[in-house]
Amino acid sequence: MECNIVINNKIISATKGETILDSLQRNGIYIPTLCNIKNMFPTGACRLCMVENKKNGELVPACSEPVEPDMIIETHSNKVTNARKTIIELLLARHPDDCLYCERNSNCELQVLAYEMNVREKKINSVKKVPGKDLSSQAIQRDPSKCVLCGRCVRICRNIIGCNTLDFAGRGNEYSISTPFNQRLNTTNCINCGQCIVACPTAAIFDKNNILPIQKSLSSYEKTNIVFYDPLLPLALQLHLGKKSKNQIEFINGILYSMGFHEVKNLNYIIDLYIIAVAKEFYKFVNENENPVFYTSYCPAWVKYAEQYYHDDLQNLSQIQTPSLLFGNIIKNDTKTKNTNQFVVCFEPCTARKFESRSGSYSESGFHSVDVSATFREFFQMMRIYGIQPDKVLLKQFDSKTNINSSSSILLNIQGGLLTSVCRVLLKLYPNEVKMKSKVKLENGKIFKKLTLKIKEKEIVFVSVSGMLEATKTIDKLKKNIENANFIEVLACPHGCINGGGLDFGLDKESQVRFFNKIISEVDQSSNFQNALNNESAFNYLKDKLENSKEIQRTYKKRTII
Amino acid sequence: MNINIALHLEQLYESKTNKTLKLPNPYSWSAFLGTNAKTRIYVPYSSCSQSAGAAIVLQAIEKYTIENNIDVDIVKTSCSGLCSVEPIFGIDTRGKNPIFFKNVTEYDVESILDGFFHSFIDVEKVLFQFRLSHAEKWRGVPYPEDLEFFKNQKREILLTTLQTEVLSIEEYVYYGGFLSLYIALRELTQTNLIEIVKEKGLRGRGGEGYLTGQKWQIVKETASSEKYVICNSYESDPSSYVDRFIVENMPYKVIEGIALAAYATGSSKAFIFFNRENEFAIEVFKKALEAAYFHRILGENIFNSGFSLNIQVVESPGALVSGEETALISCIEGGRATPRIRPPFPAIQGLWGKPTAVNNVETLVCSVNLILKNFTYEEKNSNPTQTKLICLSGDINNKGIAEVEFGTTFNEIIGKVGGGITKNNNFQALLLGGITGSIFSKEQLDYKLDYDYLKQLNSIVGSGGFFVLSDKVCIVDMMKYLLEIQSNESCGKCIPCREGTIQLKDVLTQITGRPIKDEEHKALERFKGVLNMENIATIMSQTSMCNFGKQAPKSLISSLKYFRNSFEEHIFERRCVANVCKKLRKYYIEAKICTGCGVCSARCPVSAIFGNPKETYSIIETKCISCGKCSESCKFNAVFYE
Repeated sequence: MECNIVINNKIISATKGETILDSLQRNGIYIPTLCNIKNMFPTGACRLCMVENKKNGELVPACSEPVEPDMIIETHSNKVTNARKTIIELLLARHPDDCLYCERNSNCELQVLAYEMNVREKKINSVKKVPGKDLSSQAIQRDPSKCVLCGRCVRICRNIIGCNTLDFAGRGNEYSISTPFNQRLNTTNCINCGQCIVACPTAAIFDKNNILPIQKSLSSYEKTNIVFYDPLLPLALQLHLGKKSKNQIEFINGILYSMGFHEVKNLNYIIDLYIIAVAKEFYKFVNENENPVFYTSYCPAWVKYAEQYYHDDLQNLSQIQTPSLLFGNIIKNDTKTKNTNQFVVCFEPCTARKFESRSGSYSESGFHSVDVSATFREFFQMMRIYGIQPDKVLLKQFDSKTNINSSSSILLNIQGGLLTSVCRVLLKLYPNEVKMKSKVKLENGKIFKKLTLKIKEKEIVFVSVSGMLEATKTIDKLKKNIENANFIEVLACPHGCINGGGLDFGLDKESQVRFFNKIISEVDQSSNFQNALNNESAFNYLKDKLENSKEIQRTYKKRTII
Repeated sequence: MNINIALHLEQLYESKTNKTLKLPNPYSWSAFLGTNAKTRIYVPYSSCSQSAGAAIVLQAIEKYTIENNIDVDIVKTSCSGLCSVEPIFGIDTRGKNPIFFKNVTEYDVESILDGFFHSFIDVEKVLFQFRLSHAEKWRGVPYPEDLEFFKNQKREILLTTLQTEVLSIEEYVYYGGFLSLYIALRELTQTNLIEIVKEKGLRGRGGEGYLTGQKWQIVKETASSEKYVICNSYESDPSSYVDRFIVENMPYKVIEGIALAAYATGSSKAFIFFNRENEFAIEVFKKALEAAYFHRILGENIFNSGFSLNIQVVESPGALVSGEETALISCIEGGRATPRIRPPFPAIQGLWGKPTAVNNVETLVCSVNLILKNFTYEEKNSNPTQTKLICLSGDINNKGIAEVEFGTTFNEIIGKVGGGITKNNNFQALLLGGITGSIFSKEQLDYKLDYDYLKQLNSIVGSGGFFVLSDKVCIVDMMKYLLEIQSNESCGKCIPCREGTIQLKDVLTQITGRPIKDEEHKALERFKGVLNMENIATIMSQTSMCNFGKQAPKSLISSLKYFRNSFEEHIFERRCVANVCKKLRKYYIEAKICTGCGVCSARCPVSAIFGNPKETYSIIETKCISCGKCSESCKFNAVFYE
């Protein structure tokens, strides 16, 4: 129901029942928030969004107070701004004053709020929280002393990921966010998806910083530094720099070469190879099983989840090594250039890859196929360290051998991408056995989240799910035979890797997802080279060298958690 | 004593229809029992009586009766409410007024009983006698109404205390128990019941005084497959034990109240939420539940009306804030005891998203009396909702539970019901509503106990805890104590309440203590904190999420207003007039008395005492931490403080 409310002496139309914050945002009035997450039930914990209800002079939280007709609201009255400032001062009283050494220096929400509220004086002298860092995990590290207890990580972990690794503990002055039984993160059920890192307003949760080992290796004379990166990096850089340019890939290659890397390899080539391998594996799987249920293993967070909770299904997970580790294996096992001094670095939009590169099947004996897996954030940080001037970068090509790739390779970052590309390959690889059920065309840039193919007269349902909680719900439905699917693509982050834990801070998640979805779809549509199978070099390489080799195989281990 | 509960209720109901219903006088037990009546010995046996020694007294009485071969019924009754004279016990012999003895110890029992059975009583030990018609009076023994404590009360809920056996369902029914429920189920529709409650203006006793009838109506009118009633018996306030008192002394009335609320709202499942620490209350209530189920007053198809109800006992995890209604719901759901934002209110979306009526124990008990009175012929026009149970504690003579009418002034409550301040000290302040209550000064003693009246003054009745502070109490120290509890018990969810209580506590700790290393900038920072105290407290109360945070700083705000002198003395003169803040004491050694033994110097933990043996020692003020060890150790009492 439409109604009119008065905000700051202006009449504004609002819908009855929506929150005050909604109508403020729609009308372009900014008020600070801290605990609020868009599209989630408000908790009302931070009390920063308080606005003054002029009718009774009370302060009400805009995030949860529903709009009522004829409300009179003041968003920046003296009472309100004083309250906000005091709240920030209270927060800062026990917050460690080490902004200069902080992970989130210059992109910290608390810093911004203190700046916005014009906090200029330490009015309250209180005992600081003692830092008690948890550096145990390979991917995600915590510093509870910087926590402002907004609860965003808890809500993400519970309501989107469904792991419940982080939750509140204690009360009063001992109120804190903790893992179960206050364990270290590496022994918990954390799947390292990194959504909490992106959700955190301060540096209470951050990813393991791998820049130092990379720098060390770059400055070493003995090492051959090889780097490859996820195809999402060019687009993410575009967002980061805020401008569009052609030849993004050559641009990034140039940056990497000028940082001092010796070789920049094309991961997309291996992704093509990976897609073909998965398609072949699935075809075989369908032929061997009566009721095939096949899970992809591209997402390392999902793999850890499965290793923890779906012990019976581990043999149904794709046994193909993920592209980056596979590439590392290929590089390091290449007999011609067998060289123990190779240092392989990979840039991914993902924090779970850090964990995977350390604990994948190959690394148990101390051998790491990828020495360092770093996030895009670390790439941007390295650009700052090496003083890269975007205008002055020399464009560089990949080496000619692996230069070609299909546009399918970039699809893997979005939900339904692997599904669509595998179907493309299946249809082309086995034209007689595999048939489309309906008359949809796969090569039109549209990404399918659900698709049905006929393989040897069997109806095979392909489903793609993203967001771990959503995924587990779907899988549980499959197990109870409520739904039917044979090929399940699982991505732990909602919307896939375009919303991954390794992407830049401070961006509006929704618009980021929309931007990536749009641009990836455009790239795929405009490409004349959409099917991974068209990458004949990769196909032949797979057929001749890799099939049934140790490098492409991966194994899973059953993990037990409390 | 056996009465058929169903039959008795039916008889009472018939007399109600004939408009001749008159409930038996609560003190007419021996008359009813007639010739079969044995002598009854009443021992109030709630957990507060037990802690005063009722259990030992009970044992002594049992021992005495066995040894002397006296045939009596020993009855565990409900408390009188006057806790400061516990343990008490009473004797009721046929033909004589029941008489009660106060402050009994196990050694007194023999002499009192010996005396009693030889028609001699020690007037010193007597509390009062109850008035019975056709019974012999005790000469020189006061009646309850002769005592100040009872004279100034209006006892509605506490009317039947001291004479019935708490856990005997028959006795409860005999005095009109479960009749309200019987009438409601027999002839009232849900709407009728709610109308009566609304008409009489029953207000929730939990704190803010929301109209109970309205709450029930909202729950009733919200469409849902299932609805719940939660009886909140969690006393979140250390200075009050009204809820525990009610459950321990009238568990059946609580059950009846829950049943009424469940019937009115259309729920078939109810919960009662206890503080886990109130073990005895839980034990009593569980026994009462068992009996109620046994007599088919709970369960399926109650009184053949088609109405079913199950009551589940829930024990809290033990956080103070779990008494808040949304936190309580979260607890029952299995979550953390943290409040959530309102709206949606629990009456619309409560337990598991279903409409839930959360009512205080006292409210429910009050609703039972209300229905009963409404249908009792003689008392139809009286309104039993106009009284409130309060809990008197602190520096006051008559400590305990009392029931006063709304509109009574604080002066009357403290001076008359409470019997004045202990040890002839002067009144300094009143803390109303416990930990999160407000402070009232001497000038405000003519304020009235009333929901609307106090709401206008920006404070609430709360749980009804009257904590009286004499002038021997340091207000600053008291505030520090309150904030310590608040900062421990705040759930921590919202920033102002969590951080605010911690910061305020730190500021008060600083001003009640002596700075050990007083560097210049630290002194400045400390002073900044003091200046900020009022601002933080105001913002806290304006912006906190639940009532705990909103009310918590109010006592500080009002004490800053009325007792500013006390704060300023602590800050500027570093002096505590009431001599409570030990760390502000300045110790010195009286040269005339000191013998120079050197014991104090050896005991001083910071080596602040210097001197030569057999000469006068002296304390270096800047080093002293005011621990008081020297004063303790001095055999000649030569160490004094200002």
